[in-house]
Amino acid sequence: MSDTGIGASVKRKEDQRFLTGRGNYTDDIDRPNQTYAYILRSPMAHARIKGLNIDAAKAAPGVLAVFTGADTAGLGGIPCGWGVNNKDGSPMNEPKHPVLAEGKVRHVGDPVALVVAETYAQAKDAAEAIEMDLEELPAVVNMEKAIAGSGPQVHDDAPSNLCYDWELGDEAEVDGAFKDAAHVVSIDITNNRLVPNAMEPRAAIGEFDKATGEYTLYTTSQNPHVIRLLMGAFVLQLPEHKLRVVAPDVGGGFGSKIYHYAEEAMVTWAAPRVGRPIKWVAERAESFISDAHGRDHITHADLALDKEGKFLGLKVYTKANMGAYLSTFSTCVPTYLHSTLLAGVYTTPKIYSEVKAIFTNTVPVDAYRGAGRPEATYLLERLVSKAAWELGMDQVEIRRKNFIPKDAFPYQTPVALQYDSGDYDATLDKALELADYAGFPARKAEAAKRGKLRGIGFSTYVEACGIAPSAVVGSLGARAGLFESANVRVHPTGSVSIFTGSHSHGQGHETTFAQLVSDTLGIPLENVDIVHGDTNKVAFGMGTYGSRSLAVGGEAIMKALGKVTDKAKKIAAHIMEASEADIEFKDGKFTVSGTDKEMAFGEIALAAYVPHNFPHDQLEPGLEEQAFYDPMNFTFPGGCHICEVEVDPDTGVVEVVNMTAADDVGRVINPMIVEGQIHGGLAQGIGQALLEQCIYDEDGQLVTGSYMDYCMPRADNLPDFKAATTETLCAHNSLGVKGCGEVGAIGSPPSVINAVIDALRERGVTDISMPATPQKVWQALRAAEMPAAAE
Amino acid sequence: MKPPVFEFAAPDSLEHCLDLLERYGDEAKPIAGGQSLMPLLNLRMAAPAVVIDIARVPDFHALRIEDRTVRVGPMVRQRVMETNTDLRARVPLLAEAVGLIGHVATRSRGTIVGSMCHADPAAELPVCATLLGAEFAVASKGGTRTIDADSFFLDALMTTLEPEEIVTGVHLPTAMPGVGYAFDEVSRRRGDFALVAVAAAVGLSDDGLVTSADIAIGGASGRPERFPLTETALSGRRIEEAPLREIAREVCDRLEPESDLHASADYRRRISEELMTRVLADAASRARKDLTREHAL
Amino acid sequence: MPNVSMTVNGKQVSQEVEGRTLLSAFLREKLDLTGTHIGCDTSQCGACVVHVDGKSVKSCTLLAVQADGASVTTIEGLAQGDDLHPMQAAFRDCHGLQCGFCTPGMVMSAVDLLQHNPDPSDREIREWLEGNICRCTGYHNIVKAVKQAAQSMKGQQAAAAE
Repeated sequence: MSDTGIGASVKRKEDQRFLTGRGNYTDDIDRPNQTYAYILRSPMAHARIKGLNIDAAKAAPGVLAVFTGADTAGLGGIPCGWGVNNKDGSPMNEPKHPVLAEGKVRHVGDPVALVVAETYAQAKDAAEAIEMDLEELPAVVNMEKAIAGSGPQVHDDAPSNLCYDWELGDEAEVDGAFKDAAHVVSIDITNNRLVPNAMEPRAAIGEFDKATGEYTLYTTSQNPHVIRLLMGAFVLQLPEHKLRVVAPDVGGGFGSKIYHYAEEAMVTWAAPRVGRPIKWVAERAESFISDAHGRDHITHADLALDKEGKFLGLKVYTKANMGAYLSTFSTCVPTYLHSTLLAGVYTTPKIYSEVKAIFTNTVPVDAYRGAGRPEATYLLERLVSKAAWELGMDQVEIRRKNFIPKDAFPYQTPVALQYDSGDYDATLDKALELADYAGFPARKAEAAKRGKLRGIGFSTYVEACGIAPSAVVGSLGARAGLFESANVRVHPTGSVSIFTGSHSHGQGHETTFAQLVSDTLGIPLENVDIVHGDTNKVAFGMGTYGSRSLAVGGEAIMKALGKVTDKAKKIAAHIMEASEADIEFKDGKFTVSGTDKEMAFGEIALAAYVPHNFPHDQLEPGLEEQAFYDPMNFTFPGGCHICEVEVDPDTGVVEVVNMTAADDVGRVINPMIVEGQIHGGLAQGIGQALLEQCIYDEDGQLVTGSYMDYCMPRADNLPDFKAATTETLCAHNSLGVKGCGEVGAIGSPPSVINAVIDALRERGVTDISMPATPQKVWQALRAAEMPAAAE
Repeated sequence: MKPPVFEFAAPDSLEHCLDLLERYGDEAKPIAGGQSLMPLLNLRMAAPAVVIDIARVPDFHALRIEDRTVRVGPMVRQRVMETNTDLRARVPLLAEAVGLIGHVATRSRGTIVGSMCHADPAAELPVCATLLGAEFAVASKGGTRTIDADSFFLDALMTTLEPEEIVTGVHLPTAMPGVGYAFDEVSRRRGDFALVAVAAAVGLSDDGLVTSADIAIGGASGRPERFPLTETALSGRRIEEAPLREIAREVCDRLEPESDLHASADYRRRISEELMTRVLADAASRARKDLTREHAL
Repeated sequence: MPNVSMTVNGKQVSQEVEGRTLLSAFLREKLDLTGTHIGCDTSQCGACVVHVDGKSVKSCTLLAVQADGASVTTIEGLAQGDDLHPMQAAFRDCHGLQCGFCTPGMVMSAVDLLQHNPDPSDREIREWLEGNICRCTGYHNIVKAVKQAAQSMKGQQAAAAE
């Protein structure tokens, strides 16, 4: 292993600029003659727009233009990228998602008017002068009430607020498995609604060049090409060769910056109308009411077991909140990213899942770190732990008994996926060792002396990521292919630019991808530049989400590198007058086997651009290759998370005292970066389990609309993490990589809640919901003490 | 630019400051450290016509540590309470509470008096001021007056300060020999406003019997509430023999807190009870240490 | 409009601003020092932390006019040319940053910590940094970085003393 190649913890190339304040985020960009936008948003969750008086705003100092839904009604709606069919095969209900509200507003934050002025302050001041005549309508935020049929309708053309009623599996067949069951364990569970909260608020700058007719959008996106496709083709009807989308440095995404947002379309559309570039930057309060939220599932599930504790069947009924409109990936999250994961790491032979997707007067809900898989994992792992407690089995034993054995791969689950590789005993063993499971009883006894209840919780999980196989996702309703592209440009002096369709917003691609190149071509890391985030530089790309960058984007780079070395061998053969079959390439040198002839990679690069004697019919000049990679299958990282908590029974305060993660993410290219990704996921998982919750009141007002009320995890809410990896290689890609971006957030929440319940069990508590706040824990303890007096 | 338009004034003397307050009355908002006001301005939840920066008034930065009293000017930052060891020794209650306010970077700007004047019912410093019986020196064009803490805090975010008045200093009684102080709170996260916060002062006789006891509770109503406990079953007992739980329950049963997003009324009441038993015990144990130290001297 | 003058990263600057201009906006928009980031409106996230007269403060809840006459240091003023401050170097070595957005504020806060407490414990580091939210790292490597910086700065001081 070289010190810059695969497997090395190379320090990140991108850090110098970030650490010195020279990152280039969207809000750091100022275009010549730029103007500023402020977006007036609905203060009500549901209302009819009876009138909008924009005269005073138009006349306000510095104001250049004011646009409303009347101006943008001719544009296409913000599209949803994934179609889901109902049980009867009919398509889902897909109401229009207008750029600016048309006739009605459907959630607090729904954009009503766009004000463009010389300064941001002027735009914001002018917006306050707009008179909104809104007739408030009853709002619905609760999913049960929304589908009851008698209450408010979010969209007139979506009866009972139903988006779709979908199923996977044969319910009757699974019912059959329940007939033979010795035990049935049931659970009702809520996956709490979250706000992704990337630290960089969303921003967009729209620009139009009159001379060329070209539009440019700078935006905080995880996938600029996808934005170009969705906005250009569906909303603004702009030809792609006249639309450039740039996503420069992006300050975190976690899913929330995948989607095409109305603000991007607004500033792009308005730029030629104002005749100047337009910049919009969200304030944090605005982010809370306009970024897509995450999770928000309510589920009932039943698990059938035989008398030995072996799983026989699983039935899962989920209601998923879509919010007021369908965001880009919203519809696939509770279905194809959730129900297909319900086998987990277990051999459960029969599984049925039903999902009802429901409109409410809330911000659209879409994928957030993990997307569907955390919901599946939380449900399964809570259910499995509950089963163990009810059957009096050990938490480890019930899991091992039901694991898919390591010699069973490839393993076809009853819910459509075929896992290619894994070793769940190995990650469990590793986690038990790291967490010192054997020492837990002593630690518990010691905590008891201090008046603390100590508990330990488990989660053994698998997830499907590297989201791509176009054929698979296409058959599941995706309206696009999900491959990735890469271009390798070798410069005459042997340095290399890689153009990738993946996008880095914290993941460290500039380093990890450069390691692949350094390793493959045998050139120093500093001779490699990774270029991403600009549709005018990168040919095409599907972007970064679903832990796909390395497993799909990295593989595309490997494929293009393969083409480069193939061609370089031809050149080497020509120059060294040898047969191509005799050329070997290793450690950056081309040699002719059986001779001492050799040429360095740089010499071949130069020759490629100085082709004085190339045979024209056999060899083109230049050294640059393009590849598109579409994988055979998802990848399947898995692992075991073990959490230990201490609860103060008198106040209900929960402290995570140990957090252990053993994950199999396939081959590790940069261990330092992988560990960092796992840490970040764990923090978000613990945040979901103990702190974070997005709450609407009955009128649809967002109650947790700032960092004062929405509890983001801080440094002193989290412990040091014990993280380790084990390795089984992905069986269908060249690197053997699986993906590590989401495992922490997928695996950890049930381990935390199982630990809290384990701590409280001795006091009779059997259930606690996320987030396990001090008040909730305290109430559960009081209710268990005095069942009759329970609130 | 997040805040709304306002006039900015930076008077360089108390006289000038009072002139401005007289002229603008409730149209004006004084700003000291700004850690309560600025978020409200950024969210446009406050829209004063004039913001009066009082930082240029030299006297306002004064901190006078006297034998019986600490006089804290309105520009004395909260952070001083963490870094000035003499001050910490004189008002140990505030020294313990101050680290729970916001974050270091907000305490570097935020002032002790400013937090008290903001009068958030769940904020730490108003609870301390209430327990200690702090006095607020107040000035206006019409003259000066002194308001004691009990009369100063009126309701959530409301004090008895008139619009043309300004607090020129808070006077905090210094720790008394043989008295121990303690502060504790439950919050969602450290640095957040407390769900409830409880402060206690317990005095012991030389032989370790309770001679005085007071508590103040924040977050359980619109203003901090003070409960004198000297006349209860605590008196004349060793703290470990006193019926702390019963006394706490009796006090907390009388509380009428509100329910909100983070805590129900019942939870607030019962957590107050728990915290009260803890701080009374802690305060007494510190009083005992204090006595031991005195004897050693 | 009021005029403000201050020293920013050692340079004297003077500009007319509206009274309501936040220090964070002044630094970013008037001085083009875009390393100071804005992540919230309520003094919670800490992306905007800079030093004013040597103390870490949140520049999003400080008016530029309040900093009149002050000496301000931003993330751009920390490194000496290409030589990173030990805290910056430690963040890179320990992978204490991912997307980089909270990083300037986090580094400025951490530098202030070591001014007051040259050898902080894990708990002290975590409590000091509670006003700086990072959504990427889970803080583990940030804590590690601050400890490493403390060690290397002690080493430098010892070397300087010899």
